[in-house]
Amino acid sequence: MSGVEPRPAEGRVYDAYLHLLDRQVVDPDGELICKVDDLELELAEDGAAYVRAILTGPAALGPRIGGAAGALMTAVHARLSGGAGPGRIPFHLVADIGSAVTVSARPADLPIRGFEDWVRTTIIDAIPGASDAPE
Amino acid sequence: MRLSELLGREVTDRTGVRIGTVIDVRLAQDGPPRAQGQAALRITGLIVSPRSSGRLLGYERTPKEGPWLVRMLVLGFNRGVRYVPWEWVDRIDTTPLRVDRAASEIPHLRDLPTPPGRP
Repeated sequence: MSGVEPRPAEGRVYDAYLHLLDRQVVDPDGELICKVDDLELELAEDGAAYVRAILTGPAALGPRIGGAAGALMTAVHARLSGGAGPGRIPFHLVADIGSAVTVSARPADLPIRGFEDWVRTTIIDAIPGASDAPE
Repeated sequence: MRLSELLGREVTDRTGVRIGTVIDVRLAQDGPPRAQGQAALRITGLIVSPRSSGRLLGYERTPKEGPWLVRMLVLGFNRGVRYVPWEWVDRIDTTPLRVDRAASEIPHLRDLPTPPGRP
């Protein structure tokens, strides 16, 4: 990368921590989906780097926090989820970045609630009568 | 690679002189078009503080807004913050990150024009 003249920014400019990290992610109707716990980056062959996806959940937040608390969060999540990675929302689904991050997909269409799904199928569904419970 | 792997990293110039710690990463929406037609967010540079921690609060983008006292405190706290263009980062797989410039060549964030986008 060194030796290359900086490419001036065109378009809107954001600061990742200030404008994206820890922001609420919502769907087009404003339904709360998750928080931005981290961002996945991709490095191009020419040295440029781009944001590829929003990462969410304990497997994203734990490593970011670090220390004993982060390691515990990551380990508990890995134990309960069978080693599943973080929830991931491809960044091309992001429609707007404001006080919240709006994505153009419904929560049910996103693979981001793995832990909730695991609790529902493994614990809740195993409770006698759970299948008859109203939503 | 994750954003959190850049935040908090130490940065040195090409002679090994410490510049500071990465406290934010600047992005511009001018990358290649993605699946739904909008441009990808490209990393344009690293925001590096001489302190070991801290974060931007947005006052550097709106220097005339907000309570005067808070503004002065935040701007004073961020006085030594520098902006390292991504193209100047020599390698990202080393600790600390090494910039292929002398520390004196690296601009201060306060000297840059306010970028377009959200405050």
